Order: sequence, then structure tokens, then C-alpha cells
Amino acid sequence: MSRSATPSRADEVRAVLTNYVSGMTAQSIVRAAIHQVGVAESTFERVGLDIEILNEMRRSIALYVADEAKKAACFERLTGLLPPRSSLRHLAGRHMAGHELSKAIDVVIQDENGIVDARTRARSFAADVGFRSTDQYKLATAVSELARNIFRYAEKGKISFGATAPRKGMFIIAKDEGPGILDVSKVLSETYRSTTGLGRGLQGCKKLMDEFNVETAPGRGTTVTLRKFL
Amino acid sequence: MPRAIPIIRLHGNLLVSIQIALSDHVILDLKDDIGREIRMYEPNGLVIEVSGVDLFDSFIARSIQELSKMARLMGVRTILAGLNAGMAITLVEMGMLLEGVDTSLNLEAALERLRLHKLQEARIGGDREVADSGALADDEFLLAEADRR
Repeated sequence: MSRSATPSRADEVRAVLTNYVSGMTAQSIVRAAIHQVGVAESTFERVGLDIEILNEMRRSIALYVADEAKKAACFERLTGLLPPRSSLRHLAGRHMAGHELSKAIDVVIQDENGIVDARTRARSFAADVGFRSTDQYKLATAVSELARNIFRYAEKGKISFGATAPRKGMFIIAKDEGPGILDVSKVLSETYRSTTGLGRGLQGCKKLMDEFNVETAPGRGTTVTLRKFL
Repeated sequence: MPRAIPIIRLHGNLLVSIQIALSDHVILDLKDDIGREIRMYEPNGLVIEVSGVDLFDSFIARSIQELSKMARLMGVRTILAGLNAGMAITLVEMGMLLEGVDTSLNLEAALERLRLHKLQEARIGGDREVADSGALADDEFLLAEADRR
């Protein structure tokens, strides 16, 4: 049988597996996984791995490969075969395995680069959770506002974000040990304008999110918690 | 030091196409650079093209607004082009409507508007040479449209 000269994406997956299990076992691991996820065999031959198939495989690999080091190595090589992030986007909406998302991300804000870093990572995290494009902008913008407030007023702080459960969504927590806010309700009122104009950032965050909470006291730092659901 | 954001001279206009994530100091530098270029080049208009910007938060929005006001005080019309739907919706929800900033869907539309604007001014100012040089039949129609609006 003469297939195309270059190995297909699916062949690459089987090639990795046969380093750790027999050819027949490799085939059955692949079949079981794509069956479980509901991807047609022909699609898999053409497209190759996605994150869901990989997660299914992880289970059977654990059954067949006893050695922990080998198990990890095998999984790592398979992860390397995943398509680049951009083409994964459409899968995010279906569902992502819980353990892929449960890990919250912390970004330390102590300079301007931290602001860009935080919002870039927040946006890609929002995409992974399954938010649509416009909502990704909203979440990233909220993170940008909070990060900038930390940098401007507290100089240093931390932004964390992660997935919410059971209701699917994303939380954002911005925490600093800065001077705190004297009168939160004033800052959040529509008429408020700080000298730098930054007060509007916090108002904006509130409008963009589903849940909004500020804990602060003068001299005791500020913690802003936001949530947005799918 | 090379500029983080190049400012291009094009058909008598200045074109700034922002293709990077805007950090605070980049946008502050940009303000200075544009101010200098306007004095040196005396452009007809300024187009700020933002299709490559990662997002528009309140600081960036306000900076663009200030940039546009600064240019206007120097006699230069600014058009913001290429704002995508996600950014636009976010700005609307945050209540930052970029008042006073002219916008166009894309670069092409922005340049066309500046061209018509220049023709219109030439007509009002009675500068027949400029008015005739650019005004073909199509332009006459477009100018009439613009007049009505």
C-alpha cells in the first residue's frame, strides 16, 4: 500500500505511541480515543490530534505504560503534535477537560510590560475557556484596566485569573498592597473623573463584567474581583 | 533610537499604523513624535490605523482622543481607522465613545475622506488649481453628497 510520501498527522501520533506500546495497542488506543470524543476516523487521519483526543489517550496510556517516566515522556511528545494554538480555538467552545483549565494564572505587575503581558495572557485564557471574540476583548480590557491601576497607584501587585465552576466562565482577581481607595462609591459614580482619568477604568470594568467586587481601605491595599460567565 | 511605531508620509498625509500591543510609554512617545512630524511636514490629515492593536482600554482610548485634539489644534484633521468589532463593543459598553475623533472603517476609506476634505477646503478657499486638479466627475458627485451631510 502506497500512501502519501510524507507521514500524515495521524501517522505521527501512531509513530510516537509505538515507541512505548505495540503497534496493535497503539492502534486501539487511537481508535478508543477518537471514538470516545466522537471524531470520525477519516477526520482524524486528516487533522490529527486535538486536545480532547489527547486527554482521552492520556487515560489509556496510563493503563498500558506502567513506567512513570515513560508515561510522561510519551505524553509530552504527543502534546508536541497538537496543532498550533490558533487552530485549537474552535475546539474550546465544545468542552475542555477540567484539569486543563483549573490552573489559575498569576501575573505579577511591577512594570509596564506586566500590563501588556497580563492582558495578552488573559485574552488567550478567555479563548480557551470558550468565550467569543468580543467577550475576549472585554475580559482582556478589564485586565488591562486593573493592571494599569495597580501599576499607577500601588506600583506593585498581582493579577490572577482562572476558570469558574460549576457555571462556566472566568474570574479575575487584582490584588495590591497599595494606598487603597478612600471612597469606592465615589470612584465608581458616573460623574467621577480622577486627575489622570483613570477612575473611568474601574467604572468600565464594572460595566464589562457580570460580577464586580472591590475590597479596600485606606492604607490596606485593594482587591478587585471580577467574574464573567459564558 | 528607532521609533516603536513608524510615521509614514503618504499623499500629503501622515499615516500611523499601529501593529503592536500598546504599552503606556509607546503611546506617550507616539504623541511626541506625531507632534514633531506635523510641524515638520505640515500634513493635510493624520490617519491612525489600529487594526493591529491588541485592545483599546481607557488609557489608550483617552490617549488617541488627546492625540486627535492636539492635531486639531495644529490644524490637522485626524481619522481613526480599523477599529474592530470587539474593540468597538468594548468601548461602547465602557462608555468611552471617543467623542471628537473621526473614524473610518479602514485605511482606504480614511484616505478617501481626507482627500475629499482637502478638495472641499480648496473649493471653499477658492483654490481652483487644487480643486480642479483632483475633482473629476465622480468627485463632484461625492462632494455634493458631502455638502448635503
